[in-house]
Amino acid sequence: MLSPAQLDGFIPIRVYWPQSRPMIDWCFLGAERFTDSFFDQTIGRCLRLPFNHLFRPQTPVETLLARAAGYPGLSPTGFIFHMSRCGSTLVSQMLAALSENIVISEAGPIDAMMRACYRTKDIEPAEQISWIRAIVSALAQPNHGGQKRLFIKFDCINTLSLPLIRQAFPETPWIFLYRNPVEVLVSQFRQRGGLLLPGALEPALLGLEVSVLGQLTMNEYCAALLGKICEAGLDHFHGETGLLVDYRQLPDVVESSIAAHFGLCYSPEEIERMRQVTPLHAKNPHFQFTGDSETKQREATAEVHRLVERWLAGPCARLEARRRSQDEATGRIGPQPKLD
Amino acid sequence: MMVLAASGLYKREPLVSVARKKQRPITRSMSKASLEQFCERVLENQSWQETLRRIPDRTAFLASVVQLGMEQGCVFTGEEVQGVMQANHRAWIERFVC
Repeated sequence: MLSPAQLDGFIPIRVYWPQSRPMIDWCFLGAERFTDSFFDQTIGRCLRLPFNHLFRPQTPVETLLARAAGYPGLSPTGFIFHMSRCGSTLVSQMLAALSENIVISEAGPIDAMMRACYRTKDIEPAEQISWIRAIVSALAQPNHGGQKRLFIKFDCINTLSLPLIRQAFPETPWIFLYRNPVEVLVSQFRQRGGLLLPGALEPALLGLEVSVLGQLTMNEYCAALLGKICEAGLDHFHGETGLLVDYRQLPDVVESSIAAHFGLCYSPEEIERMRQVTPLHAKNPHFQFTGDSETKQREATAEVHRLVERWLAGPCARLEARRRSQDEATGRIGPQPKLD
Repeated sequence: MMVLAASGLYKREPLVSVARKKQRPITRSMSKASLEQFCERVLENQSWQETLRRIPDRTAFLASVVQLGMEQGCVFTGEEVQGVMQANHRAWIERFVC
């Protein structure tokens, strides 16, 4: 069996459950940086190498824990939670523009450990927290000189597990990004996120009765889930470690309020490097970014408005009210949301 | 020994069948185990890893793996290596399937 030391240069890419204990699938990352929009894209690049198709250590979770104990990664600097399609990838790409940062964006292994309690019912919370910390540690290994900060952008559905993350990393500041729910829903209806399809998530995670879930259409389910995500961001928010951010405050808020919240102060040169990614489409950097709020508002059907009214208007209005009072209380008046 | 053979307690085998037993064919399970053993050895050897990681071409990679395996006394075919690679690739592609 491989020793933790022999996993230098390897990172976990997949967690799977042959039985009741998780197994970890490792892949050699070497000197690759997480500069792609999403974790899976970086792994896809690594998997172009034949070596990474043959030499893939498979270890029990105990090896992951031993690796974390003997070779701890960077402590997280900040977390990004969001309601989806609201500029979170822009934030992570701006942070990834700085070579000092390791930015992990929607990594499957982290999601797997956060939902581990639904895979193995008899796991103790303390053990699951140790797994979450260990998988983050394994992904947070510096592989370039000067790397000193770690940011994790979670999948939108992981907001529902915010309390668990807060237990695992109580000191780490986090932000919750939100956007006009009409625009988010229009985006989701154009191209549905896989985890927002009925059946992809454990019903208990949604906090909705199974009988209610069974009666929802696919679009109703999507709206209900996004509403739950917004409620989670709000319910677990408190001013000490959380920061609410409106999509309309992007991108300037990344270098000001978000930086301050994460305890950072960027140099002019760093700000310039981050700004260089803002003209690009965050998810498809080969294309230029163009604002699409107006287009999405026009595209919204009667069904979209009805679903927003039923599931999202209330939570989003409360988020906006809370964000305004948060900004006033902390003196973080600007940047203010740009008027559409 | 000759006394034992005459008594029937020892049955001396013809030399030809003894020679054939020493060269018994590699079964599929043996070559699978051989490939697994080889992979474990590579993961314990940084130098071999670096050499194999420098090969971007799949055909050249397979040939190098089989060659290095033979040098280490591990016998398996390129097809068997490819089978493992395809299985690992499939595991990645199907990672969202419960």
